[in-house]
Amino acid sequence: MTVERSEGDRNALLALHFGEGNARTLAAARAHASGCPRCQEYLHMLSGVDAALREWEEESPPPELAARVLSRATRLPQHRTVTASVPSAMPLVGLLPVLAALVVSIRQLAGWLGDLPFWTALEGWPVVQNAAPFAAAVVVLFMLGGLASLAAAPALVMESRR
Amino acid sequence: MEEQPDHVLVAEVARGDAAALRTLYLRYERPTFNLILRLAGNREMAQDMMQETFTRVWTMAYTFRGDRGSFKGWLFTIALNLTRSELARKRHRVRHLAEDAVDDLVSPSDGPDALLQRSEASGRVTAALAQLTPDQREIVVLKVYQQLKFREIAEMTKTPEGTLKARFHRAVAELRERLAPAGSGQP
Repeated sequence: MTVERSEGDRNALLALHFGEGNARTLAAARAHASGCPRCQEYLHMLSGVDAALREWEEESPPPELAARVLSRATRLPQHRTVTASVPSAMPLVGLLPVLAALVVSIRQLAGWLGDLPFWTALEGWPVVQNAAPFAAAVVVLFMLGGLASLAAAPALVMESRR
Repeated sequence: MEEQPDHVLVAEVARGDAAALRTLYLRYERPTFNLILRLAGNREMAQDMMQETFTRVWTMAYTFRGDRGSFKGWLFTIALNLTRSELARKRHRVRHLAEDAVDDLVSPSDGPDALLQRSEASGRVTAALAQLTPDQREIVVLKVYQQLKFREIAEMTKTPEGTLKARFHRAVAELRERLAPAGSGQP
């Protein structure tokens, strides 16, 4: 036999069985249940299952467990929070010379590329004509950087496996 | 001597005080062991998980915040999460618990009659609990054996209270059938 209930009824009866909730709500649930055979049946089922489950009584841990657990646990170092001694933005300062060198390189390379004859084809678009050598310089530097990374990769992999 | 509150002891553990850990361990050994035992259904695994749990308390004590909840709730959450992970890792789901797990639940210090009676009672319950889904078993163990409130379980498991109540209701309905003595309709 199943005891089907609405969610609200069921929650009220669970609260009543376990004594959870405020006194007023519990008193209302108790008053209702005392005159409702279906609710009484549900509460009876809860009590029955509860009692049956408690046949599995608490077990005692083995007496030697405490010494073993504590000795092994305290052998390990404790984790600590690391307080940063340097403000988090400070490492970015180290990037400034790199960025400056990059800008200078792009300007220099764009100057050389700008002297090449084929930019005359862009005379109809003066803005593009001025910007194109810089874009080409960025692409060339990016490709050179990629090639340098590839060249260094085997050495970096070997280092990380040490 | 007046007992030191849990949060004071955890703060001392965080500063590396092994004696404070021992006090907390002795205070919560039995309920934690029984929580894990009933989730795992296996004494050996319960002992391993006790080790993992209190090692985590020792190494992570600095993360405990007393204003966010009790030490007991924090401890049980650690034990629960570690046991869940271990059960999942070993494909040792509670619904597939070995039959012989019941044998592991009996203390060798008991007399033969007590052993027989106790193993029958606990074996019947263990077998019934083992048939539940892991989620259902968890809610039954936390609610019935650990006697936590639904609100506390909701915080521990990060699950809405309504979901937990529905899950408990379904678990009870299943247990009712399985725990009913032969020939009777009631548990």
